[in-house]
Amino acid sequence: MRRYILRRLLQFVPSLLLITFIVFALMHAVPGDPARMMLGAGESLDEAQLASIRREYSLDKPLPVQYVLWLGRAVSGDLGRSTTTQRKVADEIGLRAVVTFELGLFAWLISAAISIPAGIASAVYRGRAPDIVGTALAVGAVAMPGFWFGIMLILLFGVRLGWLPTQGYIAIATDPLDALRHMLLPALALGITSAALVMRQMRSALLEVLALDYIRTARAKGLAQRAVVLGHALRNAMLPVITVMGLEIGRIFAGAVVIETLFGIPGMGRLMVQAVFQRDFTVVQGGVLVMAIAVLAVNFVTDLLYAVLDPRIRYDA
Amino acid sequence: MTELDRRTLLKGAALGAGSTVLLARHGRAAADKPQYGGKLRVAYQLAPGALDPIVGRSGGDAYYWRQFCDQLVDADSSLKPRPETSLAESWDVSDPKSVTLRLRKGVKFHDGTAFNAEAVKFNIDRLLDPATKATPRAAFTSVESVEAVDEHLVRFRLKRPWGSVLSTLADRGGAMNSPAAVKALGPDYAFRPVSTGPFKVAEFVSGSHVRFVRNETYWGRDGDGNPLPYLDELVMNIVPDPTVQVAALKAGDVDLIYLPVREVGNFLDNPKYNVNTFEGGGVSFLLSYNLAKPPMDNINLRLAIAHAINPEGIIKAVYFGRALPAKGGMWPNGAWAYDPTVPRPSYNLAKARDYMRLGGRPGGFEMDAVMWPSELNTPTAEIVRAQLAAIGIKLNLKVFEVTVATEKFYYGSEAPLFLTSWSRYPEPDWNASLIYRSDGYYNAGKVKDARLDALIDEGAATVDIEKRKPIYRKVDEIVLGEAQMVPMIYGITYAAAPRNVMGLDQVFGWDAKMYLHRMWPRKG
Amino acid sequence: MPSADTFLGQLLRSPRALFGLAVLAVVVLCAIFADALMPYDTEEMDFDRLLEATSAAHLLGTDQLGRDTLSRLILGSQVAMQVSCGAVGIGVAIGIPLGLVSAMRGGWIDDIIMRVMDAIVVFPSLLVAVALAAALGNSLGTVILAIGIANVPWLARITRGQALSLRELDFVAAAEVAGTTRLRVMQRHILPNSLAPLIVQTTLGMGYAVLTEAALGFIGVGVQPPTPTWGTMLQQAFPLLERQPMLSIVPGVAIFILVLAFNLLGDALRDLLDPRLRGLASARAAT
Repeated sequence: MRRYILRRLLQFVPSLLLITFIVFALMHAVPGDPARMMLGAGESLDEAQLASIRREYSLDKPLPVQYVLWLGRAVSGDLGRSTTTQRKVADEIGLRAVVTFELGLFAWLISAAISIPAGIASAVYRGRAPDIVGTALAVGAVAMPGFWFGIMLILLFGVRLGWLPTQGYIAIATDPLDALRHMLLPALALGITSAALVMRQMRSALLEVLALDYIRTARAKGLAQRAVVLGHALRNAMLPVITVMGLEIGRIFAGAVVIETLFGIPGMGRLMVQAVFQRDFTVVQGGVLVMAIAVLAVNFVTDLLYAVLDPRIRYDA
Repeated sequence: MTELDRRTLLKGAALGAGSTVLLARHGRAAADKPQYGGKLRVAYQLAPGALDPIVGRSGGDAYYWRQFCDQLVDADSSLKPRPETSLAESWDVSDPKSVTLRLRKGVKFHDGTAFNAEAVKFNIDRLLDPATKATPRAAFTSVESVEAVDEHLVRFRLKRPWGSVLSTLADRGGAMNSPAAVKALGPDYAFRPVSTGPFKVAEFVSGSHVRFVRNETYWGRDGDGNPLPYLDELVMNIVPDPTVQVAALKAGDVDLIYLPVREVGNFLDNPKYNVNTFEGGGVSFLLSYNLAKPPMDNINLRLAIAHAINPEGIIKAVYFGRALPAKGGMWPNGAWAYDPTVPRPSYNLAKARDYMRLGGRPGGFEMDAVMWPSELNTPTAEIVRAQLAAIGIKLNLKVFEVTVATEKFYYGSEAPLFLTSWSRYPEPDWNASLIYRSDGYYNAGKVKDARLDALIDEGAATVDIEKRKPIYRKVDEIVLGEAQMVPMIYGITYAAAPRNVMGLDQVFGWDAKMYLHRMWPRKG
Repeated sequence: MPSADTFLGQLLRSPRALFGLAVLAVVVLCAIFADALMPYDTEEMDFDRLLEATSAAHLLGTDQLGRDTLSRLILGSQVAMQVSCGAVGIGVAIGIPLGLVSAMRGGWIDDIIMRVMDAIVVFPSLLVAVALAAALGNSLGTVILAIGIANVPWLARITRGQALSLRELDFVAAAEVAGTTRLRVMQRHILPNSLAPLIVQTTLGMGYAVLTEAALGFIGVGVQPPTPTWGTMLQQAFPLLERQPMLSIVPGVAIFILVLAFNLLGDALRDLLDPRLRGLASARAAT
């Protein structure tokens, strides 16, 4: 087990390097003089200013050298300054990342709260009303663009009914109740697709387990239906479900990009899109690094959980 | 209404433009005594590029620095200098080789240090230093050096006459920073600025808001001698989406916003809100040509395009009727240089076709045009495309984000035409030097036009407004008559606040940006 | 694999497959014959009928510039089909060979290829598209490329998984021992027997491509005006949600129906071709 952990952690590094280098190269492949981009479409065509920018950001050096310089600083926590706002990238990302994390977590929790009971109900009442309705809704939810679902939520709960705020973000620290009210619709829109996928996974995993012999034996022995389900089947069914839920975290953070734009939430996704549009290299670099670390970390934890829960899986082979 | 307010309002009315207040319900107390101690929450679309006025490059920066800075020379809504609210009590521009400013006494920066001639020198020197990467640097090219003659007298030595000095000092370059704070904070000063204005920056949370608190020792007074500002606290929330802003205003989460045009009708009809209007708040849509790039090097084809576009349709569909067809040049309503009598292209399909023939392309042609996407720009570009198709021109739209688009067109020679908008630049020399002059950054083709250069230099060197007017009229005759840069639609800026927020009638500055110094929420 | 005639027969008897194929047929026909089917030119602007709801003249109403929504919807199907076919095409053309090579060669080649696949999966495909668009410019091609790249890892992993398990089987081992070149082994034995999950994945991938293009269009990346896409129609409609909700509802419904069709068809194919693949999600998880 320990060897496995170490090996996986070591595999992070090349992945991380690969990702960040590709992005670095991509951003510098963007046509246009980066020094001029940093100065902005401004009034100053001053060569002196451009030269000083080039020196400051080492733009005159070859690409791999620039990359290594950036990497060196990044390792010590210095992600540079945004070319559009001159603020420290680490600060900008920090604030936004917290927001996206809150949103993503809330979405994931809502998704779990909906999907797991629905999946269980669907499996237990297989072929009957709860299953038919549940499966139909799940199939529908996966086919629907999440942001369109968000727009429909805004239309219903914001425009027509006026029950919930439809835009903006309030920090939890400022006003927890209001924060939740603001985050409910976006989290729902963000989590709906995951909810559908997890629900179906829960259903099929549970069905598989319920069909197994030893479960039938337990039932034959007379244990109550509920005890059978909860006690034995669920524990075994959770394994693939947890894996999927772990994968879904990645999808949720990916979907956050659009949902943040739709609901006007100042999160990482929005920051990244704007940074790419504005050719803000340093923010893009720093953001990709943070996101890559986050996703790889989540994958790692998921794999670990999987291994812990099912000792039959052997990763050292 | 205080005396100062009435004067300002009348001045605006006399010039035929500026602020007008549309009160949804009549009946305002004759003298509303301002209440102190309130808090105002504003929602604004653009985040500050930096709070330090000379370093930020975002068009939205002025909203922020106007609240905590004073200008060396402040101006009223028509850009006429206003010494009562300026850091300079008086000035002498009679000498073509120098500008002398007599500074107000007893003004302190928020950190307690004194505002004096040395501080002004520090600021201007810092602006001129290439290492600072100051945004307004190019507007100060006439300045040779700055001298602190005595504690409250500062002199600029000029390389050449500087006709637009007073207007320029009303903008970024004239906002003063505390030298002590600049030296102490280094690059972090950009978001922790210290100045002399009615508010102090208390907190900046990136992507969220800027919070200001009252400057207890502010030197400014209102018309009745009451100390300014009235507010204890001011929060400017960064809300990029106008829909969100409107929702926040309706929910009572903010007290003041700009209204997107699609909401204006709703708010005018709503007795719970006041709406203030500023006509000519910007040039919402214009045609910017690259005179060196075919086929727009052909004057007839340029004129053909300018005559084929019908702003009325665009105003109806995209602006819901809430904009004005441009009748003059790039300096809109309310600017002293605004002149609707200059002959310029207007919608006329027959003439457009004639010009196509004269230009040698009666059958039409295909052409690239650069644009940047927005809720207003994108449908406008689509309409323009359809209107040009009527005379046989097939427009290929190349879409980029705004700063990239601007750079690509003006520096990268990306296309012969740029569909864009422009801030309100009431000082004609700004546009003239930046756009029309042969070496101007915003002169896409860098075509050398001796007539324009001569006129521009003359205008830049003349200080007397009455003498400058005819010069810039001649500039317009060339620029509009030869379709070098043709504004099509002037925007109307709308601001809305609930009825209990007072001071809305004085919210607009000369650039249609907000001054919040005289706002106060009425309790009860 | 089941033989052709019973397969098709079985497929057509499945209600899900029937729905999927029917919808696909309609959308493909719309895409191909758009010019003939559209009641109006998509650029025709009627300034007297702005933001109208359903009417006799305009079955699905008009947009902010007085353009017919139905016509724009029909033309939008072209982009939807182009993106889904193109993106999946790239996925197939690159992903399958990569997966085969990875499995057959093994060793460090396998490691490198799988690491690169991991790296791609880490990126939200949306951001990949945004970055590519910044570098290469906004266009249909960029969107197809970006979504295609996002598709590659899935197809590569499945192919690799299948190849690895098939290698163990006797007839493959026999072929290898008999001296058949690896290429032939891949062609003759491995690929044909791996088709089942790949077909399912490509079908589902097409639905995913449509969803991603819509999201990109909504945030303003990819195909630019005046070409209508279902995503950009939603982008332009959203600020006008209160004034004319139809504009926000219609393109979303179109996307929903098309993606549903792909998903149901994929489900039906999966059930038909190999019921054991029902746990496809767990197959993804295991790699």
